[in-house]
Amino acid sequence: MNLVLCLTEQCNLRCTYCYYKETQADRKTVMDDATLEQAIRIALDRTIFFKQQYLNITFFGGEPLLRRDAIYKGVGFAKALVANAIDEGRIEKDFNLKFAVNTNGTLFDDEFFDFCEREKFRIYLSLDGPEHHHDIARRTVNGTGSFKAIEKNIPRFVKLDAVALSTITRPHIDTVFESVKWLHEQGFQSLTTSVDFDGKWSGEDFDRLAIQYQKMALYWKECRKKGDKVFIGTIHDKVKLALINSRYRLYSCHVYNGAIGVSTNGNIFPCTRFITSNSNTRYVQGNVFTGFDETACEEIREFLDSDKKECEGCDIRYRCCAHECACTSFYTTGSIEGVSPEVCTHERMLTEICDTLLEQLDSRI
Amino acid sequence: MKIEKKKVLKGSNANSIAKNAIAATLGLSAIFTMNACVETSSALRDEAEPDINGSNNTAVSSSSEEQASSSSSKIIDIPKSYAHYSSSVIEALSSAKQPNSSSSIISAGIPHAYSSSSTTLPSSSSPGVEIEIKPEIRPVIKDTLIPEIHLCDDPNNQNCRMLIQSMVTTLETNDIA
Repeated sequence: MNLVLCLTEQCNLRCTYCYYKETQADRKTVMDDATLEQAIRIALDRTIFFKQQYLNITFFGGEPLLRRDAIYKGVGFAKALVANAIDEGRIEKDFNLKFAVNTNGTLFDDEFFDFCEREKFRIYLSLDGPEHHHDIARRTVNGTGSFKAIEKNIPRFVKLDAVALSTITRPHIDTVFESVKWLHEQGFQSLTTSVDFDGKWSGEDFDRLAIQYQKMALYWKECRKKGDKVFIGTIHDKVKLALINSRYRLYSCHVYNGAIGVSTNGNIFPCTRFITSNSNTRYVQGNVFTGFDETACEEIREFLDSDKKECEGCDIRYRCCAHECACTSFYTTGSIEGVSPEVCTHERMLTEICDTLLEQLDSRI
Repeated sequence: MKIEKKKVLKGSNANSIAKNAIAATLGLSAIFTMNACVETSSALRDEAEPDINGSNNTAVSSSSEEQASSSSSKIIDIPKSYAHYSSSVIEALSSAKQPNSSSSIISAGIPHAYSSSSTTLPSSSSPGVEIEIKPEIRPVIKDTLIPEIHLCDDPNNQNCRMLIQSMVTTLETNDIA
């Protein structure tokens, strides 16, 4: 089970593409200790019920490093809870408890790096690329770029095998490939890009992005052929799903029994993009203090089990985020069953590029 | 291109290409088993060596545009009314072929592993309140780069004790170990 804890809605940055800017109630709420502990308890119970052998706890925000105290408490509490469950025979001794943090990287210092290293944290770092690319959208509250605050820490992030997450908005398009290559050259071996689907992309924008993706695909291929196992998720996902005849939902979408997102007020959500302390929202799965709403959970389970009618017959639907990803569907259409024309267009374009890459490889084998 | 909803029919030849050979070239292990942890674990040990002698190390920038125009896709508009295709038609159009596993838990790529009998779970947060959950078994998918993607929780399978390191992020794009 993956537990995502929104420790705070506060953030020290004001990124132009932040999806919280409109959905969070007031950007002021924080998770109290009682909610934090109860969320971990309920996640462990859910894990045990599903007979899973792992619990991954991701500290999320806002910027979670604004709540270092809560991260320390959460880690300590979870370790004690798991140790107790082992003692009671509720879980086995080889149960895996892991921790992760999603961060903008600006608040790290040696003390917190040491903590992450000691606790074997997986770090997901929002880093769009080099300064001129990163600072397009990732700004401080004063409107200045945030790259400088991260730059000095990049070697340490690399040393801890951080995953670089690079978001693409329209002003980023023409430097996307250059930025991915730069991230790799800094030493990041796991990175991925994600488009900010804001409903304003044009066909011309995607034509330009396609050129960047083509370069990225070739770069990924050449790296892999040379034995460099760099992970560039943008390309790797589509290629892999074609090779293994699988579908996105089976290994990426953890809704229902693979993920619990908890907002600052204790409400439970299916995944990250849904999390909000705003009372006027959809897909609340319950609250950590009152338990799960199984009717709401059933709606999510049905999503996993069914195809979208709009996509019936589409050859790429099982590799398409518009069809497969509940989060993407929700934030682009307001419904997990919705299909965004923007996402549909993007996915067709990217899939074609990746399939062309596969066909070229096939012809050379 | 135009921003619109379209269906892709017969989008590529990805179904017929030499997948294992390509996976080996890319340092990927194209393994997909359903509810077969033992087989998966052993197969993983046979990780393919990347083809470091690959003869087609083309320059990235110079050839990229050459790919842009090739498209064998046939695209149709998504009907405004929801047309219901027969299952055989959908199957014929689908690129998501069934895995070779004889397991019966997959139908059209959709897991149907839910127990026929539901189970009650005492709520940890509210004594006396019971919540009803249907346990399920989900598949194991592994490769050499994204290992240990572990949703196989068959309590009767002692080999199913593999580590999961799952990525739950704003992107939800992958599991990365």
